[in-house]
Amino acid sequence: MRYPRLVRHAEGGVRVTLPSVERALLLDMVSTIREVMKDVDADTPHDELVGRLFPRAYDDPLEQMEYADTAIGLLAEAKRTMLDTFEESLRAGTTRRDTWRIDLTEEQTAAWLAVLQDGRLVLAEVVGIRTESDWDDLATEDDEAALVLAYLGELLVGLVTLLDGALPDEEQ
Amino acid sequence: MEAPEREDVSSTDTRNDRDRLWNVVVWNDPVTLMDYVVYVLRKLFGYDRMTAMRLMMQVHEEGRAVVSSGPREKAEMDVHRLHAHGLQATLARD
Repeated sequence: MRYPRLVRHAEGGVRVTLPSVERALLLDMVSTIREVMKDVDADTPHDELVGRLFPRAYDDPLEQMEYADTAIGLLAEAKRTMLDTFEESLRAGTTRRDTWRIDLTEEQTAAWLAVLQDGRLVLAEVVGIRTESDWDDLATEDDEAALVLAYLGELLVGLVTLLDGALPDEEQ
Repeated sequence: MEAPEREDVSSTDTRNDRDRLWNVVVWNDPVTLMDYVVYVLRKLFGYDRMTAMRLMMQVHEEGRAVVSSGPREKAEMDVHRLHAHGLQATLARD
């Protein structure tokens, strides 16, 4: 029987039900992001890959340097906290007959959103997605990466769809 | 002739800089999904769905959109929050 991967549960979080192989893929993604972030600090020049997770805030080099001096460390800490929360949730939950399930809290759900986005950014950079037309090339050159990017995107949009309905539709 | 007092100049610059409005600009990128951009703008800035969608479409079609403005400290915080959500965002003087 096919089951929905994402369902809103009564406590405000989201119930996630995935085949074990998809959970394993998400754990691999965590390791990949951690590897990208391992040496990040304000003083080390960023390559393109790190730059996807830690974009510039200013065009001006001096202003960027001053900003990065405090902001990069805080952003790295925030991203590592999200990764930890995401990974802890993946290692919790229950598995029966190759199906893994967990009820995410709101905090865990927020971490899932941020980490799925970062995972897509990293993978897309690795396979050279820099323009819209690169997607067409990817579909013919790297089926597996295209599938994983589509899968992560589907999970992300699924979460967004569930969470967006809970936001007030009036400007605050 | 007395040398100009550097402190006065820099404090004036600093005051002007603090008084000036800064725009927070979100840039298009080919990876981030439209629905995700709309959600993040709604979550971070409290926009209604129509406003968030209009800003997202502006990013998509024009390459960039100003999503908030304010003093430098607030604008930097907004950029930081957008970066934490994986969006490409910069600051620009108004």
